[in-house]
Amino acid sequence: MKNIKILPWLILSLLIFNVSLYAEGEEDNLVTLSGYIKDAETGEELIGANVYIAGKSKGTTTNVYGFYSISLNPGKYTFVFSFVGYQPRRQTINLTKNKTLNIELAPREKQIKEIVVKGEKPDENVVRNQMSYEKIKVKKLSELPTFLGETDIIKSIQLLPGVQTISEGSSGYSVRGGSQDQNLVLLDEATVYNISHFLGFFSVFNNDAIKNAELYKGDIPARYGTRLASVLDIRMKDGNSKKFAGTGGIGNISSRLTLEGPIIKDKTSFLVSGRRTYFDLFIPLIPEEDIQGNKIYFYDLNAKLNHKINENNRIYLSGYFGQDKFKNDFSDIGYGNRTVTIRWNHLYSERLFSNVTLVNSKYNYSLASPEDEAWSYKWDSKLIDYCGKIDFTWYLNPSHTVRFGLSSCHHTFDPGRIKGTGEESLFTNFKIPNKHTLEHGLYISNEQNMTNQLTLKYGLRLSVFQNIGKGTHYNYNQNYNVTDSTYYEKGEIYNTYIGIEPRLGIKYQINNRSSVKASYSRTRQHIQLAQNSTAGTPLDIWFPASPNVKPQICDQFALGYFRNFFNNQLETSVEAYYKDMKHTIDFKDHASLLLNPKLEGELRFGDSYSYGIEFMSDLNTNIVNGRLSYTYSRTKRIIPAIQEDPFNAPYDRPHNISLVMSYNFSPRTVLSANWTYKTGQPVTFPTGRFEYDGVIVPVYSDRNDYRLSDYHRLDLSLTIKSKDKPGKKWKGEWNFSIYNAYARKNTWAISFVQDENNPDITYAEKTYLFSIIPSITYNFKF
Amino acid sequence: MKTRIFHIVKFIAFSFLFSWFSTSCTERIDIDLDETYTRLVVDGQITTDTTSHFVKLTKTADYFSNKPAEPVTGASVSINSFSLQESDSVPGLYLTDPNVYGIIGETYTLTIDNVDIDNNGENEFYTASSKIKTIAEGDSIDVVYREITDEVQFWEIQLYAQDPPEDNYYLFKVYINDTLVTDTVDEYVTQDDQLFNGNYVPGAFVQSLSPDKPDEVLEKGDVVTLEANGITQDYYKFIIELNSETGGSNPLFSGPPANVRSNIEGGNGAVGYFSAYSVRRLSKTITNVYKKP
Repeated sequence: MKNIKILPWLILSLLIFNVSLYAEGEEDNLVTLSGYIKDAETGEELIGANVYIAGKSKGTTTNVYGFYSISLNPGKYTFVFSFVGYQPRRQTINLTKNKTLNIELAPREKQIKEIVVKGEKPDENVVRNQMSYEKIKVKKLSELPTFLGETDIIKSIQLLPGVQTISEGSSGYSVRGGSQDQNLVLLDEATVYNISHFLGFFSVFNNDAIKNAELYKGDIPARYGTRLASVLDIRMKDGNSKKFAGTGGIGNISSRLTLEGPIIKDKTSFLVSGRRTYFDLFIPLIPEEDIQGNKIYFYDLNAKLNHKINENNRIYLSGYFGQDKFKNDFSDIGYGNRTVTIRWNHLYSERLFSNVTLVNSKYNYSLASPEDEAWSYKWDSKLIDYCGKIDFTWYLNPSHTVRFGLSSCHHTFDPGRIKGTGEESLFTNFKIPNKHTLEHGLYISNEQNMTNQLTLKYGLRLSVFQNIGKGTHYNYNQNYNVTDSTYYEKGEIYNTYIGIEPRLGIKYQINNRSSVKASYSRTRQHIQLAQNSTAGTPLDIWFPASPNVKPQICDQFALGYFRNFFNNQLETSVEAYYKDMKHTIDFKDHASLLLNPKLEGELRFGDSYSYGIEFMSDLNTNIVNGRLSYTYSRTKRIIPAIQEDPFNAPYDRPHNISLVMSYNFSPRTVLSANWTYKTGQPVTFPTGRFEYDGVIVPVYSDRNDYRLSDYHRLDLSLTIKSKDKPGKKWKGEWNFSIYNAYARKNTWAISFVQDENNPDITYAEKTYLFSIIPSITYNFKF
Repeated sequence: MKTRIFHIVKFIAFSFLFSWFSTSCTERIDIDLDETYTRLVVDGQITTDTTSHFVKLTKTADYFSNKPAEPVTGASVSINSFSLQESDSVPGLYLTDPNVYGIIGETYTLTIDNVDIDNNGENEFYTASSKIKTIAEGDSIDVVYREITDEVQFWEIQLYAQDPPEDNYYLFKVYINDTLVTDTVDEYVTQDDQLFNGNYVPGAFVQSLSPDKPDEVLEKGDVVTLEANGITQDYYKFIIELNSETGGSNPLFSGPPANVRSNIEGGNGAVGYFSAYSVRRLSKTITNVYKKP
């Protein structure tokens, strides 16, 4: 890894050389065409739409706010504006000076028995200067099989190559051997800490409100930091700025409604999107008295307001509010997320785009027991963030796109406080002290088209992490016992970690159908989940780096070959990666993580590595869509304090096959299927036993030495759309799904049990969660 | 209360999960497991009671051996200066004289000699130590009947006592009319005093009796005795780990399974525990079997 140390200096010098060389960009004789590309029916800005010059390989794409900018020598050009699912538009312009051109693209009607309209440029798989990337087809999701009637973007991510799940039903996922807490999930620039409802069976994302979602599994752009393994960047719709519209649906578990519309046409729009389970509304009707007082529900609410102040300034205000609640006679569990974000887009010039974001988010959970007893208690915990960031994109010239920015966050970790709620409580109020941290990032990167065939991306990210008072720091000895502690006053900085994360990517375009890409990226992470269970629960807490806990570091190398066939209707790729991770955090045997102020004493540190190869093929025609992918991957951990030999990480599932298919067999019906196969997850099993005081106690194998049985499952669905009558505003569709169509009893857990009747006998028991589950959803649009 | 809360949390999750997702099921399966080398198993203790204290020696076996544990006979066993004799009726069970008692504050060391677990002809020597901790006197107990739902009902044993200022760890057991009814380790209740250290404990719920278990059903006139043991922190952690490894796992809450700790050293490695603890008992005669809380 010695060569890696030279890399930041190399990148820095490249950046300084190139940027300063072209810094007088304003005085070169290039002229710029810039503007926004929107959907002609809704006014939604299109993300990743293409702008290219007919007959040439020069082009650009719109950014996450729908903005594009292309600088050329003055002359006459025919520009083609296109985006998958829309009619392309051509415009010939005699470009003599800077020009703003806003384009609206009309959605393309689905036409059966016709091949894809030519003139498009859907060769992104090959041409895109990005590897290890997946763009999620958000609009198609409602046609795929659902789980209990809920269209779920996270469940579709779990079917992508390189992505593993941990346990059935869970919303957590692992990307290329990383753990669940190593995925950065952003909703309109705000970090989402808990992405699941109902103990993980559903995600917090209401698909109706999502415009765009992209997953970076590697080759992570310099503008993203704070998490080691992946970035899921989700953008919500801004709200129809042309007319009032709505979408919604009723499923087995929840109902959804999204309302959007203009307040001032083409200038100000709003979007409100809500989802709630309604099962609990029937509880008063159930005669059984014990269930009467029960409450079990979750809801999500997204609200957005956008305003275009003028051509150069737009402002967005958004909020997300979500809550889960379980209440019965024993307990009252609640947890939720609340995020409020303000964003301001500002165009300094036709070539310099900026965005400023301010976020406040709060993630909290609480657990309480019935009141009025000596032993009644209420326990709550929260995580509060205040963040600000500025991002600039400088479209210097067609060969150089420079991005730079700065971000800063203040995190407050309130890991737990417990208080007695009975009148005569025997509890001393117990609180684990808060921790406060600051996390800063500074980055600069350049995407350089060296020749027609070779593109080089290089960037540096500087990440700084600080522990700040008030807070208590514990020192531990060799045996992980506390020796002393130090208290820091409010505002006192008592630890700083600084690191550089170089990011490098190369693409070589062999011809217009194939390319080779390679990348290297280093990522650092300072906040992690104290999560020891296989599936993860909302009671897991986030904890920060500190003088005792070093930042986790990952170096990822990836190499891929990308090839399209049949005029880009069939996209294929093969990617191989290797990741080397340092300061991996694991937990000691029988770790005590709940309500433990000395949590750091339960941690054990080491290294881990993972490698794999991902094969992907994606077919897109008007009649049939499908994707077949296969991943072979291994992940291992080396934690000497737990055991001498390396052991399989919890996400080590070598074979992973997934097949997703949709067949439009008539203009109004879609038949879909997905089939997934995964090697069983690693487990620790007993190899011996002994008796102690009347019970049989297991003696275990090395950690994760065994596997559960392989997992596979088929889901089917049929979507029937209502007839499209002219003048009829209301469009409905029915989705009939079957989850686990051949009812395979996939193992969720194996326990070893002592026979009640004969205490000498032990046997193994398998628990499986789901047999076949049919569901119905009705979706509508108006 | 930390343990209690953890258990309640686990229980809630279990009950929610398994009742709301009624399509989930459990079935018995066959699994092939590897074998591991044989180790000595020690289950022994000395307490402040005046009685025959025991040390039980057996061997580990393959996980599905499904036979009673094989006893280790003919060993030389002693606790400090007290030597233990092997019982005539129960092989592998070694007992002190009946007039032996442990003293609070003393450290007791168990030695086991003259054993050869791995059968290689060489003698093995094992040792373990534990110190007897202090324990509060305790004022009294009360027994009330609690009805949470139709299915969940139990007698709650409440303790009134002053917790001493140092860090204390307790084990609670229950007798009805001098018969120990919480007779296996999974029925003991462990408790640390982190949340109420140094406070007066006014009727804390420390143990329970279930009307579903025939040996725990109370009748008028029964004498209920709560036994509290003052144990070491290490033994406390041993019991928690033991219950966690024998209580069934759930991917939502359990970490990866791991071996239970042991304080036995020497030889080829042994499992089990030698504990030393103080004992206090408080009794109550039941006049109102279904007394309301």
